[in-house]
Amino acid sequence: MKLLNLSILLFTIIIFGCEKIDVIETNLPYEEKVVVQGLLEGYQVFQGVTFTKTLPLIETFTIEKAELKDVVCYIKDGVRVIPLKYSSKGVYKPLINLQIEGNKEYELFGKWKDRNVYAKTFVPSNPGVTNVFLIDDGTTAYIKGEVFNKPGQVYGATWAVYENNLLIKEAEEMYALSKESDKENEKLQLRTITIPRDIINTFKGKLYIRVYSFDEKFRDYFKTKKFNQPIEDTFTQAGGNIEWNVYGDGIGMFLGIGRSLVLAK
Amino acid sequence: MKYKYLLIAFITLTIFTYGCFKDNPIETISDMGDSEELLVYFETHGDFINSTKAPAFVTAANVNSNLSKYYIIDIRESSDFSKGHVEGAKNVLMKDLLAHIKSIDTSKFEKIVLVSATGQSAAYSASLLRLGGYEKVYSMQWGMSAWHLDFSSKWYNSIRNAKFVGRFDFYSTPKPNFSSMPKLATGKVQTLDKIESRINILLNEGFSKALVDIDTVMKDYDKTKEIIDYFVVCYAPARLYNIRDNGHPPGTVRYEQRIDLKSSTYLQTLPPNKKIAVYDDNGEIAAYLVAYLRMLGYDAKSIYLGAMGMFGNDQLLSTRIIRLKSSDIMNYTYVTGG
Repeated sequence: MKLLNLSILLFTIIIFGCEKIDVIETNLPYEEKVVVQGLLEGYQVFQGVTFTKTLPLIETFTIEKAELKDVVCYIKDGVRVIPLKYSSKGVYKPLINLQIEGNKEYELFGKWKDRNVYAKTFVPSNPGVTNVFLIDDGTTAYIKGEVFNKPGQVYGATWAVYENNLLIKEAEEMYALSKESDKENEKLQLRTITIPRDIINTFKGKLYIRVYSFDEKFRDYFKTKKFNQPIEDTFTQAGGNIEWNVYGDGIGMFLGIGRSLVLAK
Repeated sequence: MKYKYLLIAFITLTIFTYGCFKDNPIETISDMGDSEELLVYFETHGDFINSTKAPAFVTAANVNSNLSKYYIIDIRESSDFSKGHVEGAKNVLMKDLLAHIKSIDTSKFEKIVLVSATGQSAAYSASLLRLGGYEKVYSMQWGMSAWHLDFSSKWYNSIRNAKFVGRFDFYSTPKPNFSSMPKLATGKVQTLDKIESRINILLNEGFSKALVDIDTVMKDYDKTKEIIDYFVVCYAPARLYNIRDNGHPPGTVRYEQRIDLKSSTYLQTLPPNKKIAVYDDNGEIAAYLVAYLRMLGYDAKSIYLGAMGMFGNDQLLSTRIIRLKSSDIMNYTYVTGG
């Protein structure tokens, strides 16, 4: 009897102990978060980091409503602190022109009210690209190439059209990212998305592959970035969370990139 | 039977304990250091110490011409204050300074002028208050020493002859490699609270903590043939760094005023874990800088009366050191008593 009582008691604790009490709110749930967006391109002048905040669903997004003007923030390149100052539209820039170095790690620290955000990224070197060819079977055309791998980096490619050194058009999406590899200088295959037929016909001989190298954390974001798209199919279940590389009380990406441009044969 | 109960209880407890845990991803989050946070705040909010606003001096002559427009705070001990002070001056000790400034309507006055005996501690206090956002605060150059000859003895008695001649040198020591910022923990959350907390702590501990004399800096030199305990900074033009006949304490590194101690230049070449002794001509500009460095967590100290406190007596007849000249002593009227 004692054993039975004890078991019932413990079983009750187990069942009810983990239960959350859901309070039904009349308003849509909304958590205010700091949103960070920053790209660090190797060997280029740093263009700054954008700090905004999430807005409630019913609120129409405008940069004026979303931008944060009083973030205390800096980046750190190992030891040195590089303060960032608000300039406009949520963008924070260094007090002096800052040339981003390739093959180097940068950290971002931000503080807004009592909220802290932190991110760390590796700025890759510009990728070495070889064996670039335009593949065209008459119906589908794309550019493929090979990139020399460096551990800790992933790669993606877009097609681009240049005329007289001027960018005419560039694909807005990448076909995929390369697999992660630990092998130094392993040749990884890359391809672009399909190039529209009218582009092929008009700009033959002016088509380039632009290969991007990313901090490998970008791969997690790339794989999950569509998880927040509206669900149009009733029978589809929503995806998981988007994988950001900003931690603490924030979301977003603070990402190191490198890039190379090669003409397709 | 007893063991059976125990086993059931143990298993259940284990399930219960671990069953409610969420799978948290492993994140490596580094916190913003207080020192870094204050540095960023200062540099993005006017960067007082590296701006033309620093040092915020007013001369005795200027104060005397504007007695009705200025709010004068004498930060000397009450015994010194009662021996003579500027008419209308309030006697407020450093530890009470922030609370006092908060209690007055600063909009009624053109300037808030801090006065000390030689100007050095007033410079230090004014710098702290400026960093706290009190932009009307100034320090009276040379302090009461410039107000009347009766008070200048403290200044003149403190200048030194070149006791260390032969030990000082003319070698230009390069700036060290970059280091981390000092570890500073204010225990506060908001940036402005951190600043106020630092100001309070630094004013409370008084200027003595931020002051060092050359004897202390050179204490073990004869034994070690180098200055071990201090990293010596000449915060002045090359004129003073390589001043004829004296030079500078061995190993001294020169930093250009308003240029070399920004995050974008050489601030982080200062050692975070070593005492830093700073000098300029007479200690006042160094005191402004020392206040800033101490706010950031550096253990910086201003050498008493700067170069004047190291070898001023030998240079008195020259114009190579900016110093209190007899023409600077105004002999204005003063008030005695409390």
